[in-house]
Amino acid sequence: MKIIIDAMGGDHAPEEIVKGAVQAHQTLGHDLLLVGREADIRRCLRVEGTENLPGIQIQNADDVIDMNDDPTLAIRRKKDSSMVVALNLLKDGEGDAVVSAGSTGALLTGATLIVRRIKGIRRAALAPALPNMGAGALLIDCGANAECTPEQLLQFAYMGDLYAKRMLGIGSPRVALLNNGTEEHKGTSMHQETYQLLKQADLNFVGNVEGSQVLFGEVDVIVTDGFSGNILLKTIEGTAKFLLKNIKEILMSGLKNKLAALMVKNDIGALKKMMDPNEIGGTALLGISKPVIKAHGSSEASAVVNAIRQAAEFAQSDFIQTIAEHIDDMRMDSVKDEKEF
Amino acid sequence: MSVQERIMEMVADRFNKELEELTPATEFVADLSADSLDQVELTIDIEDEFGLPETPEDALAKILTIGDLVDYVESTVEH
Repeated sequence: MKIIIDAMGGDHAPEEIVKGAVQAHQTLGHDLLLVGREADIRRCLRVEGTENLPGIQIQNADDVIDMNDDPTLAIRRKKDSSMVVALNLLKDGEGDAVVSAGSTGALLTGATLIVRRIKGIRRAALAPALPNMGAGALLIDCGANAECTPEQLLQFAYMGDLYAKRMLGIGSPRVALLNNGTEEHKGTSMHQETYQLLKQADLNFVGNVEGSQVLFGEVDVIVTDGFSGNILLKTIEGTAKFLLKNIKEILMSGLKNKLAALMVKNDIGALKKMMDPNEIGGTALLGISKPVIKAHGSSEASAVVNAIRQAAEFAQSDFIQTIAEHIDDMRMDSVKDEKEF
Repeated sequence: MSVQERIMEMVADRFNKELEELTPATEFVADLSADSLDQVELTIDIEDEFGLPETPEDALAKILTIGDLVDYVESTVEH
């Protein structure tokens, strides 16, 4: 198993990316191909005391795609950027998966234009697993596609269902459509049409779900367009930070509360860990023909380790092959035909 | 096979359409619901298929219909 790492992508690149890569190699044993400015990568490896570690290779790439670059132009023009080189290496079979903490838009565009989508998939989607009261819930899409058609949402539902089965170990994932109410007629015409498609699809569709209910373990796959999904994700992140900050202030005020804090310190730590993006590591780009993992832009070394672990598990699964084999089931006319006959 | 026939085939394949549904007047955005990523993907496929250099952004912006795309490819191949 060889994982290709975009060493220059992310807020803390290349230092934290290389540090995480070294830790991942030592703990998980996978071979790694670090892509980026060779001198910078070697400097970081020296800091980690591992300049000549067998199993870690370097591929020089002089350019970097930054957050302000237009994604399409950057992918087309910055051919010697670490992200483009990494994706080309994946396309050419030089590794089994790519991990990047760089620009989400550029990675999605690059994966689509260079690695290409699974044939028949209209759009790739970002699908992070949210912590919840159960085994976790997959949110698909969380920002790759601001506007979606009902057919794209149908494909997201199928991909999310399969990913939840294969990667989260959920036997029969409960698939729900994010909406502003649970009743069938709720939402825009796009939601209403999608509802009907999902109802007819060969999925365990449990209806609409409101934002306030997604974390309580009652649904396993939350289907939504990228615009709404991104707002939901950021709202959850912000609410979690807000609550933790307030809990901390309460526990640090007065002797009695400080004593209470000591008694629940480990539990609070576990809660904080559950909500830490570094613990999740990365988000798979579902619908791309080879495994591409988007690590959080602010990834530190621990997040990089988790993203590499996730990439390896994804590459070892039969997810992409199974999606390709079932692509005909995911077409809008296929679902409608089933209803008619 | 003519340039137009090959392009029609490629467009039909990319957008899950039957060939009979497409004409030179078919618009990428209005009729095929294409967005910018669709158009760039198709352009890259066309460049690879016909051995064309990278399409400049201003030329890309002027390609609104299948007919526009055929004209662009034919004029670029000639040069």
